[in-house]
Amino acid sequence: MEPDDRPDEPESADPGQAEDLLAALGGAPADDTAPVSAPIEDRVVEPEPPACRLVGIAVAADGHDILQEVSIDLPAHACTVIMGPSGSGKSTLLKTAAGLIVPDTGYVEILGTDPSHAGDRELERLRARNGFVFQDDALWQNLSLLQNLTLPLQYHRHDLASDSVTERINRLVGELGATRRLEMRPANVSAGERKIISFVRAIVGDPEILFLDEPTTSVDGEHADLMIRKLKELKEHNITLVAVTHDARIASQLADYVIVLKEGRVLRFGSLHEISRSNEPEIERILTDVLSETATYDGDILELLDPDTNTYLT
Amino acid sequence: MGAIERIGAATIGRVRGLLYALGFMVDVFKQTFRFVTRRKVGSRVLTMQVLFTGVEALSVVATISLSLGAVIVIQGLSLLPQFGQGQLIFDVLIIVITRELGPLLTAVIVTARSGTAISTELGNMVISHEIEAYVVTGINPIRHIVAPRFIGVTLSTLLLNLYFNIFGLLGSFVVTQFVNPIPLGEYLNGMLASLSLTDVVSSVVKSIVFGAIIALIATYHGLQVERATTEIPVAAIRSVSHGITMLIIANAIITLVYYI
Repeated sequence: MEPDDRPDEPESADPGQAEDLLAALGGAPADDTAPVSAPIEDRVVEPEPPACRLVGIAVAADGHDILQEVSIDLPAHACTVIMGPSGSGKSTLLKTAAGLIVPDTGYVEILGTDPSHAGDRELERLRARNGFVFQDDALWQNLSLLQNLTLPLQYHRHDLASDSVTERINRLVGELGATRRLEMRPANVSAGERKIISFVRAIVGDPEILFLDEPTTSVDGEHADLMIRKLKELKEHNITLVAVTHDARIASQLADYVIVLKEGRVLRFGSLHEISRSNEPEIERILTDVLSETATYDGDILELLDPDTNTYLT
Repeated sequence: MGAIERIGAATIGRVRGLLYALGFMVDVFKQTFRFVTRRKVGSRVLTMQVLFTGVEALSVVATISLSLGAVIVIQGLSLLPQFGQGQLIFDVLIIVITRELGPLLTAVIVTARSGTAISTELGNMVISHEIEAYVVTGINPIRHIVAPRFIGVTLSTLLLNLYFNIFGLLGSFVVTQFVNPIPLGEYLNGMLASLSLTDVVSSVVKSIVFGAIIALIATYHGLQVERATTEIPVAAIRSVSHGITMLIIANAIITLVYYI
């Protein structure tokens, strides 16, 4: 399933932006001195391959279907948010997309590679291009917070000198307002701090795809804002984001596409604009239920998803 | 489902389980080779494992082997002279301590201490998604977690067996000083006369094989934990029961190979 439509253009585009957009598409700018470009229609625009492709996925556990008939192309360089009621299979879908769960039927391609057919080294290289933030942080308990952050770099970034590693970690930890007590073990810091360190661990190796499972859960508002700001920055740098979240701020400020799941099936996959304006009562009800779990917005809850009308969260 | 179908399903399940375990074993050997030949990022895990399994178990091993050596000498010196075979005490000591009980008892101690600890630790790591975190970060958990434990436990079992022999034979010497004092030189000569190269080699081979068995079974059961914390004690119990069973079988096979 491909998204039902592409993200909408801004309704009131800045003329400068429009020119930039034209230039990016190869259109001739309104400048006689500029070199003449070939007409747009003569060019073959290769469609961007999806960051992650799930084909005919089914996952079952203890005789129960967790995911059924899921076929989705997750667009590259965009943010896709997976939403659905509890138990709808969101985390399973995320882990399957990340190659952490091997589906019972179907296959997954991450950055063009099927992890189940990749050799050890190819798989390690592929994994090193991804980051994953677990719902319950999943920090390595027998290592200090600092060791949690340095270990992935020791394995995959042999090009980095130890000074660069330290500088990189300190910069990210500072940007996210995380604890300075990095010599401590995870068990001795708060759940929020662990979550932030888990987030830093996922991004410290410059991933191309970042999978996030409820990244702001147990993080206070101020640090969640810093996290969202960092996610925006990553998105601007063309990092593909795939997030499971109940946090309306992430959905409204970051999402380009939304997957609505129910009972292990994809109910709808489309752009944020399309999903937020959906008139289907079931979609509306699911999103309202999901978002109202964290939001305290006194109004139309679906407005939270719409960046054009949303003034509360910006 | 009829009885025959149930038996068939159980048999298929057992065969699949066995094949899976064999695949795990092959992967551990492969990743251990890579752990040794590539960058030593996980060397800290290896050091910690040797410290826990080898060094911290020294006092337990020393106590047991000293006591065992003493008991063998007391029993031997009270029984063997009645048959005019008092000189066989050295052979009995070598057979019991070096050939059989040294490697086996050391392995049982390691299973009880480290086997359960490894299964419990890995089971907890599965539950808290730490293993998944290794996988998703591109760090092979078999190479980073299992391989250093495999090397650490095998090396420690070998060294503990050496300690067991030293303390067991030393303990017997101390006891002989109270029961039937003999000079140290004479004692050592008698001991060396009874000790053959086959005894040393079989003891070393046994302790290496036993260490490998303990590590493989403990890591296998630890990683078999799936979702619930209630699976962790089950994994630890299986680690001990399967471990000791396999140790006794392996001991019998190696003894058969070397001495028949």
